[in-house]
Amino acid sequence: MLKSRTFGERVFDTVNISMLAIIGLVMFFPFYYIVAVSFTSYEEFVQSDLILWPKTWVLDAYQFIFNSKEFIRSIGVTVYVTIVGTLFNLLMTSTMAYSLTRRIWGQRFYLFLVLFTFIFGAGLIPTYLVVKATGLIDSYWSLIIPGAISSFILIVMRQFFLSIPEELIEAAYIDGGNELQIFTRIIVPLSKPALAAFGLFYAVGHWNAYFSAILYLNDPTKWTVQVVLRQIVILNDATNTLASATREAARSAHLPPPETVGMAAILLATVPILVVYPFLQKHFAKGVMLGSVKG
Amino acid sequence: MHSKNWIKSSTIAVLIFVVIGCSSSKNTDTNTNTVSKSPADSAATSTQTASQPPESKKLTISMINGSWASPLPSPTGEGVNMINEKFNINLKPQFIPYDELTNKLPVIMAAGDLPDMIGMESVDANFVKWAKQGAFLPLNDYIDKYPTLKAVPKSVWDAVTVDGKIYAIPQYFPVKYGKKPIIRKDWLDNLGLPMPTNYEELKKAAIAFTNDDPDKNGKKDTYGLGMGKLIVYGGWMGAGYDNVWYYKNDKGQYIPGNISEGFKKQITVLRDLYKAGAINKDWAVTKVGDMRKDFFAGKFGIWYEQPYDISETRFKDLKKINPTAELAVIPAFAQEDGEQGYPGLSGYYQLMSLNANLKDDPDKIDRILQMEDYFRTFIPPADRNPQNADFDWMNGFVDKAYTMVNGIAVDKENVTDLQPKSYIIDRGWAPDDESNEPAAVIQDPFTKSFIQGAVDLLKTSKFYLNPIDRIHSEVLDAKVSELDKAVNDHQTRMIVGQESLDKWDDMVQEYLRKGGQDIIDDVNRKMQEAGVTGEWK
Repeated sequence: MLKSRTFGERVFDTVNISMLAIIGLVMFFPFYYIVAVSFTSYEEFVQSDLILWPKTWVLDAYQFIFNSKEFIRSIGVTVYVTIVGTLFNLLMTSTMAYSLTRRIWGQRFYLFLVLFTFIFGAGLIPTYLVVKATGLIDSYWSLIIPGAISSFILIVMRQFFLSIPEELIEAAYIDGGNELQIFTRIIVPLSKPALAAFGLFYAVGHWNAYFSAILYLNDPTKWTVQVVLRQIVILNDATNTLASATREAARSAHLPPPETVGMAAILLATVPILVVYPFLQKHFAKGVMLGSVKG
Repeated sequence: MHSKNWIKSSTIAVLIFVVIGCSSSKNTDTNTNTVSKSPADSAATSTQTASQPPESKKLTISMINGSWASPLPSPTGEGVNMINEKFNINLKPQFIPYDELTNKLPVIMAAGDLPDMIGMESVDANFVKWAKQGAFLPLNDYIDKYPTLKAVPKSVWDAVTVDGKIYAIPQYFPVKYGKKPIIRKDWLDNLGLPMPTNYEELKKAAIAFTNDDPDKNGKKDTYGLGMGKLIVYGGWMGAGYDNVWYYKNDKGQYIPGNISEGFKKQITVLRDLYKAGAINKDWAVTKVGDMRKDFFAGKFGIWYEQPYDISETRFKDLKKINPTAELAVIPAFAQEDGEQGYPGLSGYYQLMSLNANLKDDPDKIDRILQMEDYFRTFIPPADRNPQNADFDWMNGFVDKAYTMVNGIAVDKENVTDLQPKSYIIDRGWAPDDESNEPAAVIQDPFTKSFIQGAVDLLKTSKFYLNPIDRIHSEVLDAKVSELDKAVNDHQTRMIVGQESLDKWDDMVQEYLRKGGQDIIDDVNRKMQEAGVTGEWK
């Protein structure tokens, strides 16, 4: 096969592969750079233009991070919110999506309500008022309950459930199963790929939770890792505006941690959610496609 | 049908589950929820004990404030307990990074959730809007009762005054110690050049720094002046060349600095320097933070620093890389109109407003202002030691939260929560800028000598108080950022040679036409109403 290729095809392949390799490297390089800088000493970082391979590998940046209780605590908060939040999301979304596949009273009305929120959002202040009125301010549940069901995921998941043959469900009825048993023993096992994929959607959302944490959580010790990460990384850039001269001068007092620490923090905040991907990737791609065909 | 019932009951079950979920977190929340308790509520609790003398009443005081500090102080830290005990209050503080505070404040403002004390970084359009809407308590009647409030000069009160009413307590920041141009004195000496006193000499020095190997390492690896995008910091060598409202047009109106002839001179110099290769080629896309890093790595010779409130780390790094490095502030250049001096800063940084709902609770106002007054009391650098009981208390006690090193108090690590001063942020209102003795609180000899040199120089300098800091113009707030951006774009192109400097007047006309004249009219009207002029001090 290989020998039968024409010269033109080979040239095309070579060009193709090298182009893709270059694009791949361009994508990969920022990650590599972050890793390299996070292991560089600050003195070396300051003196060289571009770090490709640190002359001496040091762990200063990581030491700095692990010495500050703040970062570790915020990672813990984020892991907790991600796990609990994702499970809660899946429970809420799948039960509602499934019930909307059954012929129930007011089904179309409920579907309309879901579609309505899909198109129109309530806005920041009304949402805040609801969160406040339900007493969720300063509770981790404020990061979980307001977004418990994503209308987009609900609709896609409903389409997925609709694609499960009705005969299967009828057979279960005949065998004496009730709705709950059908849901837990038939629907859920058959939907594992979809649940994994949507779970990942939700989990990434929780992992990246940022503004809701600032808005609803008054206690900085409850903040998620993205807020803390931002404080470490963005402060490096805080003076980069034409802000008033006084602000400019006053902010100088808050020397941000060195850039190397910022890089290490980025790495530590990204890796945990990154390692989840390979395990779920199979389901991920499949799950996004599913449902859309049957729609 | 059987199945229908099941769906119904499971839907109900889910709803019940949600309700339980909400209510259980509600229960766990009742303690922390008092943070957002409205002043009216807390006023009610305080009137319950009205029969007792005012000081013995325990008042709940909520506060929201911003900070650039990291980590932010915890609302339940030891420092809060110390404050609570000293002032017999129940303080509910809440801290947010300043850039997010500007997003969160409008939300809690709209939700009617405003705490008793509201901190902001500076006066902005929102502050003026909320003040006009009556969200803040007018403080005019209270100022004379507290010594540290009395000490605030009128130029600073002007900044927090809206329609004649004072709506915030400004916190101290020196007028004199903003960013100043600094130069590598050792490079000047190596090349036998004098300290520049005008733009011609500055140009000569910057070009020599580029071509004549000022660090004597045999390599052509240095250049004259470092600059970041948006022309920060440029070549601001005095009030007449800076972006302040200094010059007047032919109608006698003050005009903004960036369209003035003085500013044009600065841009001309930058263009010449860029042409000569004495400014970093990529300045128009470079972050200021990266330029600062390069300056302290010894890559160029002219930059901006301040002699106050700085960290020694960068200076130490420079000395490590270039042991012979010497830094000095460049004195302001004499202007064509005979004046000479730098623009002063606004004289305050950060402000604290009180919730307008407190007006029926004089005890609480008094308690808050007492507390502010206590933290605002200036402690001279010589007294910042454990022998001074107030200093010791504010800093969380010696050997617990700080230690004395060579006679200077140095915080231990991770002590934010232990220090009362983390919660009521204040610098102490200094009688004059020199009293801060910025050099006295620095350990590193190189940093210390730079600061002392700068302070000595600035002591005898004149400073121009920018009149724009003292008035509030909605027209300015609405239009200025877009107009400034357009002007900045033109000037960036002029510096890199893509646009001729002959187009300067066109640029000014464009600025005026697109709303600049409206701004100038409104600003000048406001200045006249308030009796504010640009003055040298």
